[in-house]
Order: sequence, then C-alpha cells, then structure tokens
Amino acid sequence: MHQAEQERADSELLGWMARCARGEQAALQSLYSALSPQLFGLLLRILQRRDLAEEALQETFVSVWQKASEYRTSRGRVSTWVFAIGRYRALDILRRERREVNLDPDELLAACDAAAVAMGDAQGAELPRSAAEYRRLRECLDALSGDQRSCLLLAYFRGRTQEEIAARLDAPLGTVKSWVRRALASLKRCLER
Amino acid sequence: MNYGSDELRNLLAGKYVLGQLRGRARFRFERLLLARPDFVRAVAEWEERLAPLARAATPVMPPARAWRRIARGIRAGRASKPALFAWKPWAVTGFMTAGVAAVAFFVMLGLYLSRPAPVAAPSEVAVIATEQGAPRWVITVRGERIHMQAVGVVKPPPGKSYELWMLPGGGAEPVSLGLLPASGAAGESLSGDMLHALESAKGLAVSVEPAGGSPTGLPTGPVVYTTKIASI
Repeated sequence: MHQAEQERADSELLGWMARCARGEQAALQSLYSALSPQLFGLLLRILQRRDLAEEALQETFVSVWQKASEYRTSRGRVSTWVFAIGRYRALDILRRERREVNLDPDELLAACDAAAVAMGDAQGAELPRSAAEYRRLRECLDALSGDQRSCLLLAYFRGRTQEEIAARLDAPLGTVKSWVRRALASLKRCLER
Repeated sequence: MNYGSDELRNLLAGKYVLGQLRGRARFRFERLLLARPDFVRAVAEWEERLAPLARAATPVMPPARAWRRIARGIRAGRASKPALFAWKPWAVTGFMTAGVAAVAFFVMLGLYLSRPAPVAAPSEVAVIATEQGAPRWVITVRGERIHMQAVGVVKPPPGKSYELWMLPGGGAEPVSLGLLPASGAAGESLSGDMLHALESAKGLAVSVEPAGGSPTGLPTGPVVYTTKIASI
C-alpha cells in the first residue's frame, strides 16, 4: 500500500473511532471489518487455540466500544491502540488458562518474519508501510544480543514476568533485569537513528 | 526517584508496555500516568515502536458469530449502569451509624489509563481509600485470584479484623471476599460463581469484624470504607 493510501486508511479509522465515541454501532462494525482479520491472526498466535482467540477478539471490540471516548491520537494510531487492547486481553487469558504454549523466542520471531514476507508479497513492488516498519524493527532486534531479544519476545508475546523469563533462560533475575533495560535502551536508540 | 529524566521515563514506559512493572512499582507508574502527559506519551511511543511485531501476523477471518456476540455485548453493556448508592439499607445505615468519616472514594483506574491493562494485568481494580484520598488497599482481580495489597500499614482496632465484601447487585446479600491484610499482600482464589458475581457487583465494602472475620457470614460491624469496581 502506498503511503498516501495508508494515511487515508488511518484517517478512516479515526473517523470510525469518533463515531464509536458517539455511540454509533455501525462505526464499530466498520472498525471490526477493517481490523479483525489481522488482530485475530495475532490472537491466534498468542493463544494457539481458536475458541480462546475468539473470546479475546470479542472482549477486545467490546472494550474498544466502551473506551472509544478515551482514545486520543496522542495515544498512538487507532490500529496500534486496538491491537494493544487485544494483545493484553490475550495475555490475560493465556495466564488465566495456564496453558503450555511455545516459549521458543526464535520460533516466535520466525512466525513474524513469515507473516511480514507475506504482507510484502501481497502488495507487489511497493513495500507496504507495515512491512517496511517491520523490517526496520527487525533490524534493530537483530542488533540486540540473543538474550535481550528473548526477554523482549517472551514478554511481548507470552506475557512472561522477569522472574519467569529468568527461569526460562536459566539466568539470575538481576541479569534478566539488566537485559530488559539494555534491550529497551538500544531498541529506542536504533529506531531513532 | 527523579522522574524528570528522559531516560528513566522511557525505561519505565518500556517496562510497563512489556508488563515488567509489577506490584507497587506498577501502581506508582500508573499514578504518574494520571498526572504526567509526558509519561502517557512515552507509553504510547513504546506501543508504536513494538506494534510492527503485533501487526506481523497472518490475517485469519474470524467466524461470523464473533461479531454477533460483540453486538450483543455492547447492547447489554448499555442497559446496565449500576447506581452506586442503591444498596440494601444495612450498608448505608451501618456506614452512617459508625460515624466514621469514610465516604465512598473510588479511583477508576481503568478510566484514566491511557491504554488497556498490560500483561497479566488485573481485569478489575478497586482502590479503597480514605475520604481524603489516601489509599488503604489496592484490590485487583487477576484470572481467578483476588489480590489485596495494603498500602503501608492499616491497623484494625485491637481484637478486630478488616473484612472485604462484595456488594452484588439486585438486592443480594454481601459476599465475603476475605480478610484484608494489615500490611503487605494477601490473595485468595475465587470460584467461577464469585468471579461472575464480581463482574456485575455494585461495589466493595470494608467492615470491622471480630478478629478472624465475621462469625455470621454477613457484615456485623460498621462499614468503614466502600468503593466501586473498575473493569479494565
């Protein structure tokens, strides 16, 4: 998708948010149609079970409806905001269900890579903004140490606490804390370059 | 701590987005989010920085029933706006006769957070505070557990305990959620029915009971604090 088209899409989402805040259910349905397939894909990746992903999806959009009037563009793009709600719901459910899920950070990243390649392929010659942004973030993730990257991915996609990450990576808690700290600092620096 | 430094703000915001702030650190940060737009912005920036990971998922069309359930969910939400003071009389009279200057003071954490609950975050939150706004306990429900965290030391009168009650809607009797800790944290598992009831509960109340809790299963002493529950 071209940059201009992407911006049009963003401004359309913003219009729907404003109408949701006014209580127009049709606007929520438009948001849902635009964002649900990709969000459902993310929820499936986190939860690895369809029924739970459906539950998270439903709760996400009910929540978007209830919080629509609190949304501000200063809180990020509409899609980022909706995806964040969805990710947190999914991580809550994951914790509630105490499910055994794949905890291999490399596999998590490989799944993202594959999806990003598909995003790029689907759009022909022009790299869509989401694929370009992913590539940039991916380069910065590559610049981290393997342990730092693992901390980030296990927290982001698996909702692991620092204690759980320490157990999983077989490292002292203090070390994990410093990995997280350094990962955040380098990532920010790298993305701002 | 000097919260003015960019570096610290970015670190805390990043940890928050990754769900790595817990307990008191998290509570302190959430309080900062209320007061400091620069912290709200720092959190939004982290969400945006990491969002490409969330977007890098293969789209899957959800089944049609998902939307039908959402539509039903938002209609149901419209119908039920609980009135805080529509409780059974015991709550209000106990509250008055106690002569304790504890007016319901509630902090709707969910309303002021710039973003939804983070990793394994509580789905329901209530802050029990004095009339002056000093927090006494932070009550959170995570998964099937209720977690009660005392803010500092909250000493009950000698020979007494503070007990936490859920006030279900529809005129039902209060249901005990357990004894509140005088300091530190306490937690309990809740049954599915209790969790369900909590979702539609009108609020929480704290009563003064004989040490070890109410002997009758209902509040016997004065109600000293009440609060609403905020769903996140």
